[in-house]
Amino acid sequence: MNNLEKTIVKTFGNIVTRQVYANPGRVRRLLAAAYGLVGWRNALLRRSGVEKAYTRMGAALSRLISKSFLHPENAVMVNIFFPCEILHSLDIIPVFPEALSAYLVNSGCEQVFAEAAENADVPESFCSYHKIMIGFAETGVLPKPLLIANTTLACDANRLSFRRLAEYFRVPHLVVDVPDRIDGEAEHYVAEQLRAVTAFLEESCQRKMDWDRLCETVSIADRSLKSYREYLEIRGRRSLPVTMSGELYSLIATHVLLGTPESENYINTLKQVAQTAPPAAGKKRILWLHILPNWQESMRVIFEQNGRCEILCRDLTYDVLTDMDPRRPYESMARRLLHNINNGGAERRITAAVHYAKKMRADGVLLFCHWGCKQTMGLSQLAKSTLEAEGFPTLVLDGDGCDSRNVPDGQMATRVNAFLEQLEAEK
Amino acid sequence: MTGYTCKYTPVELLIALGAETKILNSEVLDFAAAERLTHTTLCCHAKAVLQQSLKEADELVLVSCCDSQRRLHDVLKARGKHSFLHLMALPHGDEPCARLQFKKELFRLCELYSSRHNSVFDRQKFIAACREAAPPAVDRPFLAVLGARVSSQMLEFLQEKVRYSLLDLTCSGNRRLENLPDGIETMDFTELMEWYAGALLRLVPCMRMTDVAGRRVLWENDNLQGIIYHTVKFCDYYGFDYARLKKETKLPILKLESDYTPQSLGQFATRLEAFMESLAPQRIAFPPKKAVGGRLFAGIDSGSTTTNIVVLNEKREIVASATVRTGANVEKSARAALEEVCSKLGTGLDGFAAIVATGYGRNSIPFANAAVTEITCHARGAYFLNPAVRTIVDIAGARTAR
Ligand code: SF4
Ligand code: SF4
Ligand code: SF4
Repeated sequence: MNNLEKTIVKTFGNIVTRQVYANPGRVRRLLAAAYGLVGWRNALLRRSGVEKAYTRMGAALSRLISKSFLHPENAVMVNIFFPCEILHSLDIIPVFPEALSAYLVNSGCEQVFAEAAENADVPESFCSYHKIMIGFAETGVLPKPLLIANTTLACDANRLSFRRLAEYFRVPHLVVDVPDRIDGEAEHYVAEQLRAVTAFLEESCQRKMDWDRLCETVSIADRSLKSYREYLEIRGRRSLPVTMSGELYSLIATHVLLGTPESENYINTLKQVAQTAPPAAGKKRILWLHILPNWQESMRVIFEQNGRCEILCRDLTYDVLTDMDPRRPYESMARRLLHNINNGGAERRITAAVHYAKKMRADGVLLFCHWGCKQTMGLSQLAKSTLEAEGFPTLVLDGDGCDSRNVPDGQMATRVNAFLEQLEAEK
Repeated sequence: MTGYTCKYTPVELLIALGAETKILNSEVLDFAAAERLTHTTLCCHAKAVLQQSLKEADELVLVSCCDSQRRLHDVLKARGKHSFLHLMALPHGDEPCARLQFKKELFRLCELYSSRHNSVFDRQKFIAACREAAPPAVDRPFLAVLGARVSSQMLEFLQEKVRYSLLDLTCSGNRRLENLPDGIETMDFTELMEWYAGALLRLVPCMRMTDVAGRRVLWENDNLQGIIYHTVKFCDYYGFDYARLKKETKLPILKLESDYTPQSLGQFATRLEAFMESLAPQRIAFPPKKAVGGRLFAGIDSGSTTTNIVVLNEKREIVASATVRTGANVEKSARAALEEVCSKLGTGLDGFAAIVATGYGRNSIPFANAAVTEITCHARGAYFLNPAVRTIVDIAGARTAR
């Protein structure tokens, strides 16, 4: 961001913050207009390399958020793991906390929403993505969606915030229970629940699910995941200027937007760019576990601009890259949920981290403990000791992906720099 | 000994398999070792269990309750010191599919436990244990502790402080199995487990379950006089329950947050006393009208730094006040303050209809007719001065409170 952009963001953030309580409707229209504008601007930008993929995805996402504000009656609030192929096939817009909160912090106005939630008894120690989303909804800025649907995967926050918001908005709340154990019965159990979600949605939005369209969506999803696997394969040998926001886009492409042409395009572009990228040399290669604080200037300087290191990928994007069978869409979606590395014990996530650290030729691993994320914090030391025993120095870094209040900025920069020095000294 | 933490643990099944069970609900002095293995902001109860389990590696049956419990299990499993460590997958509701899943979990536990101990299921023991866990009726006024589990030390402390019977209806406390079905004696093992899985899932839902509407029975009770709402530091579930409860009930609520160390308790004493005062305002024993000549009323605030006294007349007008330093002897300082106003007003102790003491030294002033917590006094004083006041910040010598 240049200085002018920073000033615009700050002024915008101040305007939003001042108006939230007095005129939430106006704030909503303002945000919808701003995100819509950013979307169109990005769509028109001519960029090359990874930036080409990023600006296009950024455009798609901004327009998605803007559309969800303008047509909430056609939007369903979901969590990041919810299999949205169902929604895309019914032309329903997904709304989810990770994008909302990340956009709000990047617009400099997240604090007012976090505080509103805390004033309404949401625990301070609660995951800030969900906290900001609750504040955003309960101040009246986020419009009432058609309904709320979430999976019990992967954390407690899902269980709490979506239930509360369904009560607040008085909209139906559908929960897909994902058991820890993986077997045929569990697959059947989850697939049946997903079928029930479809039936409920058909009823609510008065549209019939077109079976062929669902199969086609799942087929796009399958191609995209295969393509993403190939991308990671290539990425392991190449150097690429991956950004923190870029990794947010990759997360969304492999999750909520999976099955859409935008997601497939994004992943294919990424793969093409990687194919022609220079071989890995010199920079320290960091495998990132969990959230990236893409709003934080000091972290952007270190990871995107200083030329000492590069981010390889984050574990949330490779959490489940299984094959999908377009002829059995529900079973395929169910399998994706069950086999997610975040489902069940920490072992799965740590084993996957070791696997990808080797595959991507990482020099070190950064495990980011996002404020309130107990599932990640709880396994942080276990992951560190396992990864280090495998020869991957690991930094456990506390911070926040979307609430600037929880962040000791200077201390974080010092710790990351010391870690990079350690990596540089080793080889 | 087989430790457990969650009310959905099939305690009766474990007993029937010969286990000696114990709920792990004890405080610890610090979390140093537990935090080295996890993180500072993990739930304090999970950290307390971890801290204890590092010393005593008894058998442990955990439930996939929350992220903190899941990680507690992961860390203990990686250490590999427990002779029996098991995590049960708990469904999020009690619909038929969920019951089936949970029944399978019961079978799995039964298999693992009996093969580890070479024990067999004792049907009579099982039935007796289930019978014991049936609900008792409450037919007298009571207070309830709701919310997240309280430590055994805290529960004891609360019981001592409140003047009512106190029921532990927290997540780990309200474990009351439904009545046994007819014909239980003739059921085979599978049928028994089918019923048992359902009975466990039909317990009053905790906040971890998807449908929490049934929690209402916890506070919709005519004998319930007030609620002590407890949350555990770094536990997220129960802040959400508290927000809902506040909307649903008009009963007085006191919210306390503890961290599973003894440090919490000291801070609760005054707030509990004030809560009791609000439940049943203290009748101050005024001396009979004829026995006292005066119609003055005094309030003494015996603080850690200063002792203040204010005197009102019958028309509620402030007629005198004084501030003296609180010395080593609380009573002496209070007397000095009283003497100062007496000399201003030209009266003696007999000029007062009543004297009420508050502040940290309130119980050491023998000439006061009553002792009331500063919380209640602040509330009444602020209301007297301006009924619109909703928040009071008390900047005191020893501590600042809101
Ligand atoms: S950051 Fe952690 S707690 Fe928050 S939604 Fe993601 S997994 Fe859940
Ligand atoms: S919150 Fe529920 S699942 Fe968790 S320990 Fe308490 S009773 Fe068990
Ligand atoms: S107190 Fe809360 S976070 Fe801790 S184990 Fe119980 S439910 Fe989980």
